[in-house]
Amino acid sequence: MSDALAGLGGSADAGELASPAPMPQESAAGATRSRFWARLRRNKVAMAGAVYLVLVVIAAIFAPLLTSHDETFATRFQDILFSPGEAGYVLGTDHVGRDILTRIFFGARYALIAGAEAVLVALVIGVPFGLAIGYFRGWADRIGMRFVEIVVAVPAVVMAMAIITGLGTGLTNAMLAIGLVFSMIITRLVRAEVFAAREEFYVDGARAAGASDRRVMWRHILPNVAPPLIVQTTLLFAQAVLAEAALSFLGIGADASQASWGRMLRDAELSIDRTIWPAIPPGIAIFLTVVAFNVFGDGLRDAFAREARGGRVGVGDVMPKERNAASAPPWPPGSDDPLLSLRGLDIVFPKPGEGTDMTVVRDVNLDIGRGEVMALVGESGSGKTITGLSLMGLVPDPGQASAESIVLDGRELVGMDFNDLRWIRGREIGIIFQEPSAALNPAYTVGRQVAEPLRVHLGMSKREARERVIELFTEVGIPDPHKRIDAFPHQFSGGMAQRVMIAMALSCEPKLLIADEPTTALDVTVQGQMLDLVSELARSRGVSVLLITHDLGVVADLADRVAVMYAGEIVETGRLADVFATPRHPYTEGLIAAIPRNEPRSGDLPTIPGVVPPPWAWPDRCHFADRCLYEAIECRRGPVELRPMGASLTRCERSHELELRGVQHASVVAIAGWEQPSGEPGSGGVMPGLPPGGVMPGLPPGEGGPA
Amino acid sequence: MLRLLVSRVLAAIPLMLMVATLVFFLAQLNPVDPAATIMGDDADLESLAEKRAELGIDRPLVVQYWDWLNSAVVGDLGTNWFNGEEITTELRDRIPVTLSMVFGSLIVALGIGSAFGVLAALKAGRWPDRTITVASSLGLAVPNFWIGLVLAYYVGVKLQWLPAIWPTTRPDSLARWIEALILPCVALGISASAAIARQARSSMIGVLQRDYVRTALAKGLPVRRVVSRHAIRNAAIPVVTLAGFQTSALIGGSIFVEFVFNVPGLGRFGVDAILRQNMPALLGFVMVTAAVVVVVNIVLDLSYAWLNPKVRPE
Amino acid sequence: MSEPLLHIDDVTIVFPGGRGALPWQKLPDVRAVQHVSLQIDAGDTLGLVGESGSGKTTLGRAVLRFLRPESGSIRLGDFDVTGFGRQVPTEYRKTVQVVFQDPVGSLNPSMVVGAIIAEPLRIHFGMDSGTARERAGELLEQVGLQRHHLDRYPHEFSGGQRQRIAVARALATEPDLLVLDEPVSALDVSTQSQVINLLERLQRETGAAYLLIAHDLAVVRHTCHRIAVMYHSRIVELGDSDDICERPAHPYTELLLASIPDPDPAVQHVKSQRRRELAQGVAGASGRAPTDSCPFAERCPHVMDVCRESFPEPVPTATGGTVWCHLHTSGPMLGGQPVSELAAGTSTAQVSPPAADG
Ligand SMILES: Nc1ncnc2c1ncn2[C@@H]1O[C@H](COP(=O)(O)OP(=O)(O)O)[C@@H](O)[C@H]1O
Ligand code: SF4
Ligand code: SF4
Ligand SMILES: [Mg+2]
Repeated sequence: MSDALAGLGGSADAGELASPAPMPQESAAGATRSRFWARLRRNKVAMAGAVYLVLVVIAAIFAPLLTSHDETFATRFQDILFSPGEAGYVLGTDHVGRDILTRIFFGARYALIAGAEAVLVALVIGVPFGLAIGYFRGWADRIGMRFVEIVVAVPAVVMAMAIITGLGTGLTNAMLAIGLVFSMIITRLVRAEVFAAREEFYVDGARAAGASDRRVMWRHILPNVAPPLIVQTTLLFAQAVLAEAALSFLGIGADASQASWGRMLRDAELSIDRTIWPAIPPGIAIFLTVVAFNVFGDGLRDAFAREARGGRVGVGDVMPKERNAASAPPWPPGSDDPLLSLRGLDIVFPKPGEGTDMTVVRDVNLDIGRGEVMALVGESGSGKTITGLSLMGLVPDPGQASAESIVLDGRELVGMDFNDLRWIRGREIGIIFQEPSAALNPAYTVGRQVAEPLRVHLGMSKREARERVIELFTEVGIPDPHKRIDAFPHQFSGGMAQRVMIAMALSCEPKLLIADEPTTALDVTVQGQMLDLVSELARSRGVSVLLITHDLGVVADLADRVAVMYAGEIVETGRLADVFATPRHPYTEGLIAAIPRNEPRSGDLPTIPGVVPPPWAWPDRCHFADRCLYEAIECRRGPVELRPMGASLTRCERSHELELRGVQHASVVAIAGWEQPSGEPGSGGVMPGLPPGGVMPGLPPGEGGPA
Repeated sequence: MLRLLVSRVLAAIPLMLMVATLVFFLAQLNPVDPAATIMGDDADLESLAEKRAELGIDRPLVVQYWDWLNSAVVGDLGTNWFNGEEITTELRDRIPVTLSMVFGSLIVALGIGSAFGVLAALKAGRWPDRTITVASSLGLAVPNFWIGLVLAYYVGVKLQWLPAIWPTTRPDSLARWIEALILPCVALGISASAAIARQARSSMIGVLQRDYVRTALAKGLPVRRVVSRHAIRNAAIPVVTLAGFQTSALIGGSIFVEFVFNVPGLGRFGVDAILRQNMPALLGFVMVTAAVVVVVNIVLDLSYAWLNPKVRPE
Repeated sequence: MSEPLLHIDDVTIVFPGGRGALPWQKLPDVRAVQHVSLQIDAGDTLGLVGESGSGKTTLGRAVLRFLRPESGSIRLGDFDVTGFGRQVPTEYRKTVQVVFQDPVGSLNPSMVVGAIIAEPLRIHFGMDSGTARERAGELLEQVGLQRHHLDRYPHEFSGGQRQRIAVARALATEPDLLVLDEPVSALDVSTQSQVINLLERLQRETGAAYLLIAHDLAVVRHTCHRIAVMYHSRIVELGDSDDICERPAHPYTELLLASIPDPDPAVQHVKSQRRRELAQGVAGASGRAPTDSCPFAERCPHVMDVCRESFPEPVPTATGGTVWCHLHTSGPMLGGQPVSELAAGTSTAQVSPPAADG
């Protein structure tokens, strides 16, 4: 979802390992498993269910010891019905004088045995069947699924009844029948999970490693099918207990000699004209047992699931923050009359698995001039996306953003609540996302989605909006706009879907466009077109752009100014020409060097060693220190401030003494037949020698040059 | 849409045929002689054989099957072995009773379940969510026939607010019909509402995380509109799937509820058929319930296609 | 050079069409790869470049014998890969290994890293668990991780580290050929080069040949000796990397080159100008691959009538490669010269006029 959040899910612990710091030697295998149990134990409801189930098992096993009456004993006197407490019967008796408490304890036996029987049958048939048709697919699958379809076309109980007709009534047969019907549910589940697992590359990896079909099935697929299967088994157990009671209630399950809970209800019905009481204890016993299985199953499911919990919508606005005058020097404005000016943005998230907060964006300042393209660059996990989202008050739920101020065109946004901000969203600030196909609602036509802001913000009628959408589609280069307007998102390729998003983002003529990795998901040949489109539309409308990307190559194509972000902080910012020609931060140098260029090879590719550490591992000093080639003693003193250096600002203790390499002039400037860049082709010294305020060679004034 | 409808209907025909085949032969597994059940223990061999010939069960199974199938196709499901009535006629009287119960509770369950599920999702993690989650786990666990008994006793017998059992004469007005339906529907609908609420909650939570919800918010739409326009429709897709399963479960559940409230519906008919090995009645019963499930699933497939343009045929 | 290690000869791969909405409807087949011939020498690297959906992965999967071509043959050393039956010989599995693009999905989440790497060792060398663990530890160190990572689960690693683990598993069998399917596409730029450097070092150490599938020509150029450019089921150009990247003979190759953004604004200006001239149409390849015309015809700025009538015959290029384009035998009769020499004269309908002119 957002870069800074990318690390919060399954890969949460990656950074611990990634940092070159010495590793704790404890076994991670144990750690993962113990985390599962810890999660389960922390779930009080599930634990209560588990405790109750243990009690039921004890009651079932020791039923004869726990009771002083006989399971089936009936008093000789017909129609003796003791109320609870009467004559030493704690829960009273039923209409033939049998002790209800005794029968409840014995009933636990029937419930558990019946449940176990049904679930066992279901698993023994369903798991191999599901595995087989899931793995072999093709004909096996078609025939198998047709069979499942036939069985489930009839309501489960009805099908069980039909099977019972064939097998004869009785508890064992009834549960066998229920088990057979449930086995279809298991089959379907296992098959679906196997299908999903088969698509996983690790299954292909295992096959490529030479694992036999059997081994792939048992070692690679089954363990990953196990969690949903365990959960489903628990829930089916509950269903089986219910089914046993139901069938016994009808008289086609347990017979008169068996004190099953369902049978007790059937008997209770016979005396219902006198009292309902005999129906209450067995009903509650069934109810509690089923609840216990269900909550325990849910607890297992939650403990297995690694993904984060759902967040709320309608929150995400930025809270006001006091300016801490002592900590940071005032930030010099990046432009005389900035359209947007952000000061002191902090964003915190709760640390996964623990309650404590971690800061994922720290004290970010940003100025975007009018009509300017500002690039925010950095590796994934550095906090670019949520910084962009915070400008619109869209920080995803558990996150909390605060800032000293966000001024957009003279208006203070900090302190506005989520609902007030909606006049900013779409109207003043438009946004396009990385995954265009996921960003469009699959249920509606694209035309309708693009028309929505027009209708909400500009109050256009349906027809006006439609006409405007067609114009917008034409502008963003969607062929056949009259027809395509009524198509659904899945009928668009990635590039086309991104054009739709651009049309949507620009529909209300916003002042600022946030483009979050607009080309990353697209094919190379489409990427360029998309960048052209964005820059052309932005320039023709005077829209400012905040371009978020990890690819410095993209930046060079259209940005005026750059802010480089690393591990939640801006580490360098300045004009494109300055930053690219003479980077002032080692991280910028590394990023520039790592851009793949069309050049003849020479030795190893330049890299930045290591990976971005996760937010909770950020040190209290230079965040980049662990990966920095120039780290020295002075880098360890404490937090580093962003300071002017040359024409840029940089957050590096050693920037004054470092000679960092900027973009090297390509040794092959163009391909045979291509127009040579004007200026001094191949001279190699164009950029570093760029005079302050000068115009970059080969560029017409106004493009790529200083604003 | 029409094409989708046609194709689903066509696919249902072999399915029904296979159901009939499966059930027909399954039920034959039982070694008990139906003639003996009908005539009682003291019947002599000769009259038993006569009875068998009369019922046609002395013929080879395949012939019986073929015969049954031929008449079933034209809507004749045979004659009740015990009372000589046409099965088709008997079912015709009972179907409306059961279906009004089933669909009554399904519609109410969809309404209540979706509303609470969505509410819980929007308040995820806070008290409305926790309350609804707990209530739905409890609702899921209540045996419908038990809650039926309790309701019949307290509301029907003690308080006398509503009829505790189905009127012995056919209800003569819509009001009385509805009155008689309320308690059975409540008993039947509780677990369905709970299941739907849970599904609605979890799919809504999933959908609210999706990129397109973020897009909708980024357009400046009010939260209410984002939820009602952009989230609910997508969250409804799994709920619709579940509604299909629930219909099937409700038809199954109606058997027990009918038993409790003495409703002259399909369920009682089916239970009688099983207890007495009444083959034509059982087959008729199974085929009718299967037909209802299949029809409901076709309807759901169509609404599925309406909700999810991706599955519409181009 | 003796006999090449891998021979792909006139391979066509077809996915049978699925079923339509109506039961009797059958959707047409998808021709994912058509008439592809390639060779890789032992210890060499061939780069297979093209946009997503062009058939690169499918071809790689055929080499791994995860699917069987409709026609044509694949041979590797003494193995007749297309001749295998249902059961692929274990010996072949040992010889060819794979690394996938997706660093999340390619490692079994329920196994520790040690078990993942030990699996091929135990299958192919029959090692006992102690020996296998020892060797797995060595392999981890070889790919730049540490021995104590053996007991960790894949989700505890970052994307780049997971790719290293996948490489370690692939190398465990000491394969002759490694199929690398977009091994760095999902990684950040800085991590990409780490993995590429690692792969190159390992190739020097082990002598394995690579089939490197990627969509970024610049990345591939650094790693590969030869490059095959694929477009919509066809190989359209084949040659030595430096020649392909400097003197492309096919219009699509030139478009790909023009699309790589360059951080030097002066270079980038020239490139984007050229790209705008070349880019015809607004989308990538879509629909089903044509059987008897040039698949690039919809987007090609030089398209001629003949391009829509037949798929071009291979023409040797001036630099020793091969190109499949009618420009070399009809129209301007380039005869193997770089296509970049041609002015994009026929290009008229520009969808995105260059911003600089506006
Ligand atoms: N399992 C499949 N069934 C049907 N079509 C497929 C399948 N796998 C790939 N294709 C199709 O084959 C073509 C080539 O795909 P692929 O090999 O994945 O290309 P690439 O590797 O370049 O991304 C695409 O049109 C794709 O839709
Ligand atoms: S402060 Fe030190 S460690 Fe940090 S980037 Fe500068 S030189 Fe490197
Ligand atoms: S064959 Fe024709 S359409 Fe294809 S690339 Fe060559 S000139 Fe263009
Ligand atoms: Mg691919």
